[in-house]
Amino acid sequence: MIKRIVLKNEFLSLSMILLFGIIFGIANPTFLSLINILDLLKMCVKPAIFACGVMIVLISGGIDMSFLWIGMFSAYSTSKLFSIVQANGTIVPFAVILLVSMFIGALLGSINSLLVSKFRIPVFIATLSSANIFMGIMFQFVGSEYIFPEQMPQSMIEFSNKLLFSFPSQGGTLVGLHVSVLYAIAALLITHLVMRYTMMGRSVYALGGDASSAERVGFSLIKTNLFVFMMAGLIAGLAGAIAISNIQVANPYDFQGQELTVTAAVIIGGTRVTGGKGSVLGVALGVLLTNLISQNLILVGVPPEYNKFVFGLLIIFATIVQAVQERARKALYRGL
Amino acid sequence: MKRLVVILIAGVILLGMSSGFAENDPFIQDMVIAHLPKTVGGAWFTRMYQGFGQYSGMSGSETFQIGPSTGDAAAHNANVQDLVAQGVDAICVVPYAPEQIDAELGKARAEGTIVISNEGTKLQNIDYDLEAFDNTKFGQGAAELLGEGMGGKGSIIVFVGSLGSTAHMSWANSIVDTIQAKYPDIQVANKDGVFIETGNNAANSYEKAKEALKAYPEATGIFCPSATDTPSIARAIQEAGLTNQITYVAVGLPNAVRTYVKSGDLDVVVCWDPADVGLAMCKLAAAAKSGYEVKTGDDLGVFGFNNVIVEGKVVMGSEWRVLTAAEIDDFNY
Repeated sequence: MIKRIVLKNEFLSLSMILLFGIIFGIANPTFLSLINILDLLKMCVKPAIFACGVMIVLISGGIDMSFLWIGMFSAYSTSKLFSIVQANGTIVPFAVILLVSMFIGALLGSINSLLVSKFRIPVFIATLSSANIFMGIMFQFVGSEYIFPEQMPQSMIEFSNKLLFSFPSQGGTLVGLHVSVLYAIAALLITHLVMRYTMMGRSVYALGGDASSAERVGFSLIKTNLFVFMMAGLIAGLAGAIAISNIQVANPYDFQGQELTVTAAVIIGGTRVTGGKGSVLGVALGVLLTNLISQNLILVGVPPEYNKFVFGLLIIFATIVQAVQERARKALYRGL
Repeated sequence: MKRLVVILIAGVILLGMSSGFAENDPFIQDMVIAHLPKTVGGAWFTRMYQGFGQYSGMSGSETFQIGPSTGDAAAHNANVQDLVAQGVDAICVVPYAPEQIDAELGKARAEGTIVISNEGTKLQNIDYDLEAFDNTKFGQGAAELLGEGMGGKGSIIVFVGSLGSTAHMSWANSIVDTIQAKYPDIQVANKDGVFIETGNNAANSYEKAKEALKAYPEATGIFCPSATDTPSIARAIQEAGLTNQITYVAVGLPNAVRTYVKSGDLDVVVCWDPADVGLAMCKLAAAAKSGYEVKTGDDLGVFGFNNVIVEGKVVMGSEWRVLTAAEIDDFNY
């Protein structure tokens, strides 16, 4: 029993989080300060929400390369739209902004699904191409210039300043747990429930495990595919809108090049690259682990020019430990 | 009646003189000028192209913009070929990869096309390269703003957009040199003196700034050379409650940083207007066309370029804008 828990991926991620936590805490006690931990949680919000969508696509057996552009497209268009609405005197509540962004995301996701199930293009290629198409459409028809704090919808700025509980810092401002952390937890929880307890969610696992078997038992591949990509798009739209609000500026190029950091977190969290396996808890821990490392290298004194190098090494280390543990687990089950 | 005639005649003569003057002005020529930026669409180059529009209004020239939508050296070369085939008088290029476009620009010049570059000091096949200012002097200026703001003591954190950026690195290095020479009581907080990379990315720089402020809580000064990253660092300062403790000097576009300049998180913005650079490029193209050789001390009639320094083919401006809360509202770009 204990052996089985120890060999669980989630247990491993958690131990690594503790291990790095202790090492970093010794290197610089500030790491363990409440403020730093609250900051870390806030930094995890964007990758954690994006990771939910990436996980769903990975479980279905594909690697999504378009989620960041879907997120940016949805969030940028939404904030641009409502900044114009606001300039004309109407203040829009934050919930509406989120819903519109999620709707646009789901719409773009359905285009991915069309490419994958109708034209049988591999997910990686389809999403890589669609990412470019979304980017092009956005630059051509929506815009490419920054949306500054003063132009941004008021409710987004208010959201970015909202803390759940707060206390005065040494500098005199209020610090506390940022409200977006709750949104991330909600996104993780809902993804977990949908993937675990609904027929649609289970069909994604079946599709990723073995597509032809899944079809034979009666799952509609087209429907499942549509669900996978609309869900991923919807989540990306949510992540994008929250991320843009949190930094109070919409820069269309801002998410560029972060595909692999998020995907790495999802894979480190135990999601199988070839599909059929993955859990939300694992993904949450994977995001926490990768961000704990990447957000604290300066704090613990790794010189900036080595940051990427050290981050890469640690990711490889984490992945190797996982592979070893996976082998041990297989050996254990064979022994049973 | 008589008086009216006199006035009319005088007016006509004056008008003739002024238009005659314009034709003799080596910096104003009627020509077809193409703007070829690194990428089209971004805020920076869109603003730069507005300088071309201003020039068009002054000279009657036809100006247009062409370029790839993402950084692409091969596409850039193809653009040059197209422009030569169209027979434009001048190409004003901001090269994406100087070493890759140089040969193509050589062919353009062989066809008689005038080539003006910006951020292209490495290029061989050009008539002139225009630079906004000398990087070392710019760094010195920023260091003095920091030193004075901090009252000559404390420690600074220096960021760069990318450790590979020539301009950012030379400003940052010049800041450190000036601080060490002029303000012995100011230390550089960065570990081993290595600048912290913010990645030209608002989200990333926000995270790096928050981290750096925790790693170096004693810091009282910050410099950021990346216009993209300046606002989010200001936000990190604000959230940490360090608005009053930290003197923050940074490169930025006025519209992007206005909120933070007014709230005092960003104390001083150093900047230059890309439209001025665009206009000055057109004027250099005109000089090349009229056969006038630009020399040190010349006035291009554009802010920042009223007293240029010429070294070989490189024409350098000598001034930049220093904006605080008092002036920020006078600028809109």
